[in-house]
Parts: sequence; structure tokens; C-alpha cells
Amino acid sequence: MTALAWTALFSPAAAAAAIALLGNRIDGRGAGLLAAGATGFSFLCSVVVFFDLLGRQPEDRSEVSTLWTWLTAGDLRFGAEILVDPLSVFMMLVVSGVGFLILAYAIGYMAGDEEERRYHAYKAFFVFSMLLLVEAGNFLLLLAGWGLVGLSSYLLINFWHRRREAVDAGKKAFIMNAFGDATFVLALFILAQQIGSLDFDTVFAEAPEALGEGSTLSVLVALGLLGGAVAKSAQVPLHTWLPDAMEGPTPVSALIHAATMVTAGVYLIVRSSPLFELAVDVQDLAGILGAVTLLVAGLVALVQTDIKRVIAYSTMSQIGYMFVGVGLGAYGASLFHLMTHAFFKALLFMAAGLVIHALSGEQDIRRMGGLARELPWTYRAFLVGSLALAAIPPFAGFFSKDAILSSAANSGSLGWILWSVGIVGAFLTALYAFRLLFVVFFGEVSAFAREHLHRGRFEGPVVMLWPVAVLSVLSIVGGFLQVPGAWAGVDTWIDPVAESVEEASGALAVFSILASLAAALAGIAVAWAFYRRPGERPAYIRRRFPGAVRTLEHKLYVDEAYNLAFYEPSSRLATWLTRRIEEPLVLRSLGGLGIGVRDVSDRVAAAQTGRVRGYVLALAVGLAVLAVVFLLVA
Amino acid sequence: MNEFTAPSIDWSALSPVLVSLGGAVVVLLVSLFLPVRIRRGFGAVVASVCFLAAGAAAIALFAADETGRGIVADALRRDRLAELAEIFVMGAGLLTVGVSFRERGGGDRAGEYYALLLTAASGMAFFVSASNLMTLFLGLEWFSICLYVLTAIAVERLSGLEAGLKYLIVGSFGSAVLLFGSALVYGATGAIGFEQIAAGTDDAERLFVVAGLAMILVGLAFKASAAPFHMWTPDVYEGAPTPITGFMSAATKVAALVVTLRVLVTVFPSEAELWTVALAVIVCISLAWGNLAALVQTNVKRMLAYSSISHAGFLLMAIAAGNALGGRALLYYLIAYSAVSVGSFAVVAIRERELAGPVTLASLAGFGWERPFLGTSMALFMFGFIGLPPAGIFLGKFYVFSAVIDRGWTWLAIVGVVATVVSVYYYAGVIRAMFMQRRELAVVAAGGSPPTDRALVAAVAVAVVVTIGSFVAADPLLEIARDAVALLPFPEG
Repeated sequence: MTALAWTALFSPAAAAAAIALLGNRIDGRGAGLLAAGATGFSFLCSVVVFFDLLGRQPEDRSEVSTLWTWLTAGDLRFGAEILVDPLSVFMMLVVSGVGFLILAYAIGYMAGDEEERRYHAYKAFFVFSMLLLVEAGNFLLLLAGWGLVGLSSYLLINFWHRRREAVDAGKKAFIMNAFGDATFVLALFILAQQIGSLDFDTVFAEAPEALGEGSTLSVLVALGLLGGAVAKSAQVPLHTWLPDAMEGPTPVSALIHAATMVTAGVYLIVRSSPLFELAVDVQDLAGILGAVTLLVAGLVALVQTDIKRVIAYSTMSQIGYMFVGVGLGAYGASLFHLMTHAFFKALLFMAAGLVIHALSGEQDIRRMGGLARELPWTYRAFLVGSLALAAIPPFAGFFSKDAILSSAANSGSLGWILWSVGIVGAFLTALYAFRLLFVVFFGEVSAFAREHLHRGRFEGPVVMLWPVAVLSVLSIVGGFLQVPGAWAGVDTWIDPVAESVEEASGALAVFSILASLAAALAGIAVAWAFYRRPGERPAYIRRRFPGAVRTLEHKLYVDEAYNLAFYEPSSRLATWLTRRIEEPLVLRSLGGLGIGVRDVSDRVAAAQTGRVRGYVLALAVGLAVLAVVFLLVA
Repeated sequence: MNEFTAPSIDWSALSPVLVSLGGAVVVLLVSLFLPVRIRRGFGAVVASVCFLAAGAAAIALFAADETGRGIVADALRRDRLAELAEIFVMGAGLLTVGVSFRERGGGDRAGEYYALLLTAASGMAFFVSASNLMTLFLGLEWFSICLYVLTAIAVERLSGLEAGLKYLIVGSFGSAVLLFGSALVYGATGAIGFEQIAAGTDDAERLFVVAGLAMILVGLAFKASAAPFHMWTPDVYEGAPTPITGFMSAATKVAALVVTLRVLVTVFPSEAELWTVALAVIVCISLAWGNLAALVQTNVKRMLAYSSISHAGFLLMAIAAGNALGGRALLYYLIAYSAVSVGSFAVVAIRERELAGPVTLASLAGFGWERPFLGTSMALFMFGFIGLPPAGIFLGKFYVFSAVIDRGWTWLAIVGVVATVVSVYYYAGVIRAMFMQRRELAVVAAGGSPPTDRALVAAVAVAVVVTIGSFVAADPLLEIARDAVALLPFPEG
């Protein structure tokens, strides 16, 4: 069984290597087929592993497989090992399953791009990195996967490297993630020093002893891990890179910046939940950050005009829900939401991709409108995605979001605060989701769309349509894995790894469901009133609250604040250091040093005269000195 | 008068030596009867088969030998150290065949070429299993003479002849020093077997032993091209045919360093205080000299020659540590180093053939874009020389440094780190030259690039796999290295 898990891990890596080595002996479509095929194969392997685990007793569902010991240094030992347990298999299924659909879609989306092959190779490499992240059997390999997904995300964001914005966005994402990586690594240093191992089993077994519950060390460890999770999952305060990351091709946004990589933070917290439970305050902090993010992102999404950026903000806010869940210990509910979110968010991105494709690359929603008539099936897919996002029953998002909220309702006073934020968030979610839907698809066909819309026999190439269809179905039925009061598929599955807190039941549960449903319906109603057709009302709001709208349009001025707080001072300091220290002092002396070294180098090289007698002389002198010194010492 | 009784000989234990030597005889004789145009192919095939067979024999012996034993009346010693070194040498030989296959010129001398290559490898295999002073000297001369000839084999090139002659003269001097040292040690102890000498040093005149040690050390350091006994290296490396340079930089170094380790640890354990300090000094000189001189080189082959001197410093550092960890580090380091060396000279060789002239930093311009696989591989090799992941030298340096720190010589590790920092300049210079020059500067072969040389590309690919593989499979390889040095009598066992 573990052999299959290894196969699942390495098959995308092999595809990436093959595409790189084959060079132009393979065409773009072939490269895409190879990448998608390898990922699909990973998915098949994961399915088999899943059923194998399913057939076992819950307590036997965890297996570590070590290929070899990679490195020993003193008492530290690192193995090339994977852990196959319910949590990792769950993530493998999501990553390779959704990944396969998106890679298949990308074959059509990227067709004809100049550097198509490079794109598919990166994409397969990303799937490998992500699988490494979720399958890793110790923190070191997890870190390796963590770093590699950061790298592939960077490479894919600035895939169109001739566009300045894309390059800037890539850099921004990389730097913000590097900050998180650094805190993550610091946490691992503490673990290695205190426990002397980075294996999951050992760390979790010995952490209570070695770190101590609630001690400074365990708080530091948890904070470090949280820092990594927050950066990777684009939560406040390290969230500003995600909207900019939409500069990448749309399938990249769907796969990396919606369905998989950005949820790695949630995975990390669930995986290291024993460490977080030693530092409860930090775990609460995770929940609070999630709540702040879901509110902020929901508000900002209301005024965005780029179709992909709206969806990006909605991703942030949905991951905010997941953080609320893990912060309160509702691991099963969070992972459930992670899965359904992967379905409907990938669906929304891919439907948006169809729209962008049909409109020759236009992303500004102010130029769209009335597309429901032109692209009826895309519209339906988008509608399904929006309903799932807004958590309307029976669509997938309803069940999972409700599971998080009803866990929150059962978690004391902090839980109630987060619950209320979540209800407000539900209203905002429905509002921005349906604003987007109405603006893009309702009303009159816009002038721009009339001019630029082009469509073939279908609304896109078949290779792009069928993944959308599959995801639509999943977004409709995916929620029935866990139905409140009836069965709890995900909770039961994850329990052996991380036991979730109990959800509310009875009247409380009904109240929670009704409240969130009411909020969502209210959101849709408001959106209907304002945006069903281009009208006066949005403009009225804009006139009435100019400050608030401008603040939101500037994304709460976070970028500006960071600029002011970090970039400006450091850039000024750097300028000052250049002018006052480097140029007058360092450069002059360094130049001198350089010339000095060069001088010495030249002289050393000149000692090589090419004359044999010189060579023999050097040898003889060396020998003489050595012999004399030896004799003197003896 | 005693009657001479022939010692019983364990032929199978000698198989790596015999197979390669036999191959040489076959190539030499049969080529005489073959038409010129198929000599090259014939020689290459036989040489590859022999290297593979000898390597396989060494692997089989490695798997079987746990305790080690003397053979041929204890003149040679079969143990895992020797067998591991033989595996490295045969591997380097195999890759060299791939690199040499399309080397221009010397078509009718192809038979001699491959025969000498096989003989040199066979001599090295003999050398690394030497277990007394006679066989030590014999082995040294055996492979050295082959290399002198190989250096000058392209007789139509004046620089090759010059290099061969220089190598011969300076090399003879080095061998003489080694021989003289052996004589002194023999005179003092009355024994030539390594273990007998070690047992006899206590009663011997220390003056002679120490003088002998100094001379043997110099003779071996000469072969390892450590400064200040390195002067021959840049000229010979530059003048020799590039595939041979690659072979020398990998296989000669393996043989010389493994024997240095064996001789110092088994013959002179009582003088450990002396030779570790002497080695530390040699290490510092090699690191300083090699790196400083490499900084100003523009000829890539010459730059790599100086790089090989500075790496001799890192490798000797492992021996200078004088402990088992150092021994392990040395062997592990050698795996990655050999691959990186052969690989980088292979890339130089192909560029040389494209341009029909020496490869300088300027003439590398555009190479990375024109030949992406070879360019990327070369970049990997340069990263490897610096000691960055994903090349095994990264971990090799890590273990070498931890070995000397274990000994209490943190300062030596710091010297190594500083040398590494300096070396980034000239290694990165190669990468910059290949990838980051303006398009107008790109140097293109007249009449277009020759078609891909599959044998050479395959050799480079293997070198890449070993370079990265030694990083990925670090611990298993270290286990092998641990087995190889397990029988050496290190002080703390």
C-alpha cells in the first residue's frame, strides 16, 4: 500500500522531469497530456490507498514507510519517509483529484501559448511538491514540500515573465512566503533542539514532556508554525500577496491559489494539532486571525472589479472560515470545508477562465454583462459555484460551512464571537458572490462583449468543458459526505489523527443553520436589489459613503501601510547606508581589497612559470621545510 | 640457501586488476589487425566492458569481504577500502570512455589510447590495495607511466608533448622522493609490510622514520596535487587531452588519497601528531594557493586544475582530522567529487571540439542556451564544486568540517569555509559566462554545432545522476564509507 503512495508521489515528478528532458521532441499538447495523465495516475493510486485504509480498523490506519535514511548528524536522523494515514490520504485525494481536473483543463486553456511545455512541467512539479507536503513523514520533508510549493507558486505566478506586474506579483508572493518559511524553520529548530527529532510520532509523543504545556517554548513553536501557515494561506496580516498572484494564468489560480497550496496552512495546523494544543492561546489566535481575514476579505471583495480578484478575496475569506475551525479544534469540519471549497472554488475559477477565454483575455467585470445568454452553460456552472460558495442548501458549501459554524456555536464565549463574525461573513459572501454573478451574466449584453465575444461550437474546447462539468457535479453533491444529525463522514475519518470538538446539536444546531441561511439569503437579496441590472443604487452608495468605499477599494490601505512601515524605512536606511557607509567606506576599501586579492592572485598565478626547474624547486623546498621541521620536532 | 616457493595466489581477489589489464592486452593486440576506422569503436567497447566487469568484480568483492585479508604473501591487501576505491576508479574509467569516444585526432592510436587507459586503471587498482612499500611504489609507477604517455598521446599537439614531458620529469622526482622515504623507513625498521613497520617503529631510530614519513607524505601529496607539490598540475591538466584530464582529476585523486589515508593511518599511527599537523598546513596552503590562482584564470581547463588543487585541500582535511569520521567523510566526498570532476571536464571537452580551440570564459558565452542539457549540467557541477545542494559535495564538506571540528580544529573548518566563499567567484563565473552574456557575445561554432555526441551526453547524464544521487542517498553511501574504513586502526577506534 505504501508503495502506491510512493508511486502517487513520484509520478508527477517523473512527468515534470520527462517534459524538461524531452525538450522540443514533445509538443505542448503532449506535455499537457503527460502532466495531466501523471496526476490522474496519482489520483488512482490515492483512491486505492484510500480503500485499503477504509478496510482497516480505525486504529490501524496509520503507516510510516521509510525508503532510506537520508542523513544522520549526531543523534539527529532524517529519513526519506512518508506517512500514510487518514489525514494524508484525504489531502492526497483532494490534491491529485482536483489537480487532475485542473491540469486537464489547462491543456485547453494554455493551448498555443509560446512556452506551453514549461507551463505543464511547472504544473506537474507543483503537484509533486504539494503531494510531498501532505505525504511527508517528518517535519523536514514537510518543510521541503513547503519550500517547493512556494517555489513552484513563484514560478507560475510570473509565468508570463514579460509582464512587469506578473514579475512583481511573483516576487511579492515569494517574499511574504519566505517570511512564513522563516518562522516555520525557527519552530523546527526549537523542536530539533528540545526533542532531538523531527519525526511526527516522536515529536508529538514527547512534546508534552519536552516543551511543557503552555510554556514559552511551546508557545514559540506554535507561533512559528502559525506564522508559516498564515503566510502560505494568505491570512491577515500576511495576506496581500494572494490577490496580486492572480497575474498568473487562470488554471494556476484555480489549482494553487484556491484549491490546494493556500490550504496547506490548514493542513499544517491539523497535522501539528498536538503542538497547538500545548499552546491554546496560539490556537485561539489562529481562529481570531481567521475571523479577521474572513471579514476583511469579504468587505474588500465587495468593491473589486477584476473577476479573478473577487474570487481571490473570496478564497481568503473561505480559508478564514477554515482557520476559525482549526482554531476552535473543529478539525474535521475545517478539512470538510477545505474539500468542498476546493471543488467549488476551482469550479468558479475555471468558469471565470471560460469567460476570460471567450472575451479574449478581458478580466474587468465592468466591461462584461449579459453573458448568461451568450454562454448559458458557463453561466450555469458559475451559478452552481456561487450557490455553493454562498452556502445555500443542498450545495456543498452549505454543509461544510455549517459544520464550522455549528462547532463554533458549541465552543464557549470565544466560539460565540467567532460564530457571529462567521454569520456576518456569510452575508458578505453571498453578497459579493452574487454581485459578481449578476454583473457578469445579467442585464444587457455589454458593448465590449458584443464586440469581443468569440465562441466556437461549444463555449470552449471540450477538454476545458468536461472538468468544469465534473466539478459542477461535485459542488452539488460533495456536501453529503457529512450531514448534520445524520452522519459525519469526514469527522469520523479524521478522528484517529486529530479528534474534533463536538458540534452543536438539537435546537442550537437548528438555530445556527437558520441564522447562516438567513444571512446568506439576505446577501443574495441585497445583491439582487442592487446589481440585477446596472442601476443607480451602487452609485448612490458610493456618493453617500465615499470614504468607506475608497478605503475598501484600496484594500484597507494594507499595502500602503506595509509600504510605509517596512519598505520605506528599509529603503531609506539602505539609501543612507549606501551613501554614507558603503560608497565612502566599504566600496573604497573593498575595491582596495579586491585589487589586493587580484594582485596576490596574479602573483600566485605568475609563480606558475612553466619552467620545470621551478616546479622541482618548489617541490624540493617544500620537502626540505617539511623534513627539517619534522626532524626538529622529533 | 632457501628454496623459492611461489606464494599461493587468490586469483579471484585480484580480478579487478586482472580484468582491466587483460582488457588492455586484448585491445592492444587485436587493434593491430583491425582496420583503422573500426579500431576506435572496438577499443571503446572492450574498454567499457572491462571497466564494467572490473567494477562489478570489485562490487562483488566488497559485498563478500568483511574482514579483509592479505593476498600474494601479504604484498597486497584485499579489504573494503581498496575495493571501494577500485569501484570509483573503474567508474571514472567508464565515464572517460564515453567522453573520449569522439575525441578528434589519433584515430590510428585508438588502440593504444584505450589500452593505456585500462592499464592506468589497473595500476590504480593495484596501488590502492598495496600493503607494503614495494607494491606501493610499483603501483605508483605503474599508473603514473601510463598517465605520462596518455598526456602526450596527441603527438601532433605541441602543448600535449610539453605537458607529458613536464609530467614525466616532475613526476619522476616525486616518485624518487617517495622511494627514498620508503628506503629510510625500511632502513630504520627493517620491514616493508605496512603492519610490520607500524609494529617496529617503537624500537627504530626515530630520526629515520620521521624523515621517511616526510618524504612519503610529499610523494603522495604530489600525486594528490596538493600545494606546494602541485606545480605540475595546471600545465599537465591544460596540456593533456581533456578526457584524460577528467580521468586524472577523478581517478588519480581517488587512488592517491585512499593510499595516503591507508599509509598514514596504518603505518604511522605513532606519528599521528606529526602528520596531522603537517597535513593541516598542506591543506591551508592548497586552499589558499588553489583558490587565489583560480580567481584570475580565463582558461576553463586551467581554472579547473586550480580548483582540483583546492579540492585536494578539502580532501586532505578529512585525513588531517585523523579520526574515523574523517575517513568516512573522505570516501563520501570522493564519490561526489569524482562525478563532478569527470562531468565538468566532459562539458569542457565538447565545447573544445565545437570550437576546435581552447575553452575560455569568453568562448563559453551562449553555450548554456545553445545546449541546455549540457549547460544546465555544467551549472550543476559548478554548484557542486562550490558545495551547494543538491550536489553531494555539500554534505561531503559538511562531514569533513565536522570531522576536523571533532578533532578540536575549528579554525581549520573556518579556513575551509573562507576558501569556499572565495571559490564562489570563479565557479559562478562559469555559470555567468554560459548563461548571462549578451546575445551578441555568444560564440557559435563555425559551420554550426556538430551533432549531439550521445556517448558523451550519456557520460554527463551519469555524472549528474551520481552528483545528485550522492546527495539524495547520503546515509546509505556513508554507511558504505563506514564499512570501507572500519578496518583502519584509527586512534579512537
